[in-house]
Amino acid sequence: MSVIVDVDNISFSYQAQRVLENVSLQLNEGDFAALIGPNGGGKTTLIKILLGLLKPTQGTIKLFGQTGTKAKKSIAYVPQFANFRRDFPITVYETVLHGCLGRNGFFKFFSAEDKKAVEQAMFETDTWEYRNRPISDLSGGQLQRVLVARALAGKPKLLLLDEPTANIDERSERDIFDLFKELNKRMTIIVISHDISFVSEYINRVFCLNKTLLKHEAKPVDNVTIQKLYGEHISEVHHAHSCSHDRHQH
Amino acid sequence: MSEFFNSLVQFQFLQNALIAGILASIGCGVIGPFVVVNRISYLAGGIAHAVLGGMGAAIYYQVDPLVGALTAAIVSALLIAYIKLNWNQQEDTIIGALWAVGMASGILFISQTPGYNTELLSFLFGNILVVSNAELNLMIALDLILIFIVLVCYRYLVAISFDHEFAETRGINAKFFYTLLLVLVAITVVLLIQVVGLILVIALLTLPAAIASQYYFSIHKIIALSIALGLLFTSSGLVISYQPDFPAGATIIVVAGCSFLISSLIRNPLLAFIHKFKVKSQ
Repeated sequence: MSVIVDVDNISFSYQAQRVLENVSLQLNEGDFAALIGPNGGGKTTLIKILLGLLKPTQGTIKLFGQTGTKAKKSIAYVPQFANFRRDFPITVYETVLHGCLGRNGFFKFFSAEDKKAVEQAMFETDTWEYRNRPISDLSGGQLQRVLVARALAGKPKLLLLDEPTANIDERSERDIFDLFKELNKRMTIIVISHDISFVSEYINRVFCLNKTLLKHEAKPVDNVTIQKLYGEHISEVHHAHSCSHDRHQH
Repeated sequence: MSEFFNSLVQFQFLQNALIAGILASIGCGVIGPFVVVNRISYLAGGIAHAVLGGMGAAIYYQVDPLVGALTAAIVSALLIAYIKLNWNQQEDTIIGALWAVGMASGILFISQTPGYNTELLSFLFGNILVVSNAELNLMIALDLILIFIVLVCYRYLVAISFDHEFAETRGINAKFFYTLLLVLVAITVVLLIQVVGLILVIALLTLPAAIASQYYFSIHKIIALSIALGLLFTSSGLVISYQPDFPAGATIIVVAGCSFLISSLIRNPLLAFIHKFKVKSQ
């Protein structure tokens, strides 16, 4: 199994504030990994570093065996809602089409292949039926599916999800994670989540991050780790093993 | 109204005024929607007012004022883009200072130029009735530049306006396109100064786009409707102002402002009516 993500001893600071310290981790092809930890623990920063939006002050990152921005086209990102205005005048179809940006040359318009990829991504995420609606008309769950479709339109090999189900109801959350489980058959996924219990039904790896990596093994998250991570007592996480995936080790 | 059309056939200055209105409408229709969706009318205001410094300097050194305006507009756009992208915390103070210093230096230059003081009002409020053929040619060139750049970069400009972080993850240089957008705003400001002057420029840049965005949810459709509305406002403003000899620029803005107000009031009932009609016809 080839290594898709190879983070080697990276650190990052926002001015004087150290956010990440000597973080190393590796992900294999086909992994579905959760990145958990308290607010301000550096989860989003690590995702942004993987995306190339931030540069680490120390350490190296290899994605698909390459350094730099060469691997950018193979990565897709699903952000939290807050990154854009909900009243922006754009249709669902146009939003998903943005996932194909950067695939062609600078002067080339979206190709027939791009439009086919958009159509496929929209069918896969059940968003095709509201393709002509403005994004301002969508519910939280519908919008989240559109953002996943946008990410899939770029035909990624690595999908980065930053709290993809924040602010949506439990049923929609389960539907979306069922979709991720399906997508995991053909791509590697990293998801930031606060709901350790819920995501553990889907993932096969967990990384506990609070400035530094506290645990990065494919083993259950125990009470000691959670107390170290959040700095307070939290009861042991029990969860059902509804996921029949072979690699699930919780 | 008939007097206007009789004069239009007769007088070249009126024909030039109408063509200037059409050219300005194209510019404000193409760029205005980006100003509205990015909510950067304050930055556009900073660029517009800094232009007076360039115009004043051009007059003082006996260069074409529009060349001075274009230079000052582009320089101030680059400066504002740099401030916005790198000094976020003091952005409003610095842009406010640039706004005021640009105007003040323009007034100083003009005050030191003998015989030119009377032109100050036409820079501030525009004078569409004195647009020369050479100025029309410059406006055509500026329109062509705007259309070409927006056609080529449309998807990138929309992407950085909508979700600049996602655009960056797709390898789009968001800072470059944001700076380009402000330079395009600067070119549009110079286009519009002839028609409504630099004080009223923001209204013509934003009002047609603001009305269009009440009815459409795609930027290319908003652009098309903004151009049509710009044509309507500049032409009707010119017609209305002609007989009573009102200032044309101010009349155009009053027409645009009233239209925005009316549109805001009737938008919801109008859209409900259209929806009902569509359902009925299906």
